[in-house]
Amino acid sequence: MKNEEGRAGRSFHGSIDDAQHAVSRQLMQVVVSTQHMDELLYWLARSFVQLFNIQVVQFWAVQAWQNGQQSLELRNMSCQEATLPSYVITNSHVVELVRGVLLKQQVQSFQSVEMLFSSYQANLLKRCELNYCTAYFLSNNLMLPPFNRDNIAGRVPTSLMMAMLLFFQSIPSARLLPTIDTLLKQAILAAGKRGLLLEGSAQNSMRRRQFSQPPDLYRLVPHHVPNREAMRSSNPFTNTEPLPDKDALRLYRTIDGQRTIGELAAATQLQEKFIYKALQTLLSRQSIQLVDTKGVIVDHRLLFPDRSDQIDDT
Amino acid sequence: MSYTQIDTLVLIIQIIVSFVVAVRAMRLYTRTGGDHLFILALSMAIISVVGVIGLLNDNFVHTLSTRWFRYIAQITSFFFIFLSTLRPPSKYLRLIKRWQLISVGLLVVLLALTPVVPQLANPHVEAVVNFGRASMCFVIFLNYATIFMSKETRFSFLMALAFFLICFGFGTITPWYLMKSQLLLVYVGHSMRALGLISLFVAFLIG
Repeated sequence: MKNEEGRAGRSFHGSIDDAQHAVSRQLMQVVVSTQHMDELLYWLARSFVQLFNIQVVQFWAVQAWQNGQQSLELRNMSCQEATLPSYVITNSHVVELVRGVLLKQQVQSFQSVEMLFSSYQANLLKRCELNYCTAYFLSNNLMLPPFNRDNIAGRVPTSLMMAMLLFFQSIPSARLLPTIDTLLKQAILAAGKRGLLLEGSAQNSMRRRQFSQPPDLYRLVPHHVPNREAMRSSNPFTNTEPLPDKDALRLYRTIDGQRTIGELAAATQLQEKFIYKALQTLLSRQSIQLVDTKGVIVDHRLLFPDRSDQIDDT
Repeated sequence: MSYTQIDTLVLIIQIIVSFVVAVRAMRLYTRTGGDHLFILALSMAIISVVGVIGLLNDNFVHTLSTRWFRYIAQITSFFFIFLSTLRPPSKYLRLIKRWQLISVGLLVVLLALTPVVPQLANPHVEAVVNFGRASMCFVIFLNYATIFMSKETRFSFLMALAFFLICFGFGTITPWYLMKSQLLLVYVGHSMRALGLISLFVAFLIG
């Protein structure tokens, strides 16, 4: 019996080691091809969710403004459950926890959500099987550029002060949290070397930084993201809203997970502006996700800049 | 109430419930493109057709051998409903949809062959096939019961209840095929099935 437990333990630890090596290896490749820090954060969040079986990963950061004020912004998030309602994990209770982590500048130890949140928020999280939570604090002398490149609207690069929030369904292996800590440090180091984090004063950094173009939209492959709780825990009739846009519906039906947006545009004979609008509709409803030629999921907010998850902290 | 009258009543409930759910699912499918809605719509439409054919066969046309079609069509419909609840990735959902279309094609062939298909005369075979229906519903019940245990939603509760009642409705009738004098089994079985269908309707209405 003990031998079996030992084997199982070794096997699980082995899988964490394997995942850590996989992330480390891919990190070097991803950093080279990444054009913006938020792309890297998105990739990290996705990788942690997929490889370490974490239910939700969020990156929150302090954002400075030209008028001297500061706000707290959700820079990136990845959820194992695509249909998880955003109000459960992006609300004032969560912001309060993140603010505490950033103020204390220390890691929030792994705890049951009941110990960290009000009973209302804890119940809300537990209903979605988010039973445990932890948060990492990240800081650096380098500057984090604003998220929205095309419309920075008064935002300025800000000294890196970030919190990574993790939600778990069950208690993970004791080795997981140190592994994530190591990977985060590697990622920040690699981002600094690659120039994804800026050096020096805000103005000089912004001048020096040459943002390249986002990935070619027409070469990306859209994939359906099915509503995975419909017909299971939720009624498909009440939980599925009809697509308001006929072009979006037409495009959605043509998506087969193999053809690129360019090929789909040719197949549907939709004009560029209608394709663009249809994609925005489908992405905002989380009906699809875009994947590049290497099979990496693209953060669509870099293609369609539209910030709606900023939480004012001034 | 005689056996035939109870059977007819249950078939009418089956037709109404499955037809309404099928129409609603198909209508929403045309406006959203969700594959799970298509699978649900087609499954419920088949169950509704099974009800209509059962009604016609039991009350008007007694010569056709429709029982094979009725049992197999119901088992496959429940099977595809079960598959769509397993959270398959989108490409598999599309594959399930394709397989369902193929199965519907085969069912149409079976239906067309009813004049030449031999009657389901052996009560042992009929009991086994009926038990197949019950087993499929039991699997769906277990699935929804598990979902309810973790998510505690009204929809999963009503679906678990519906398939529990339908399963035990079919299950209770199974011994009757071997002991035709035990009409009480039919009354209890059909009543449970009717309640199960009503629960299914309520699940899709307010779940």
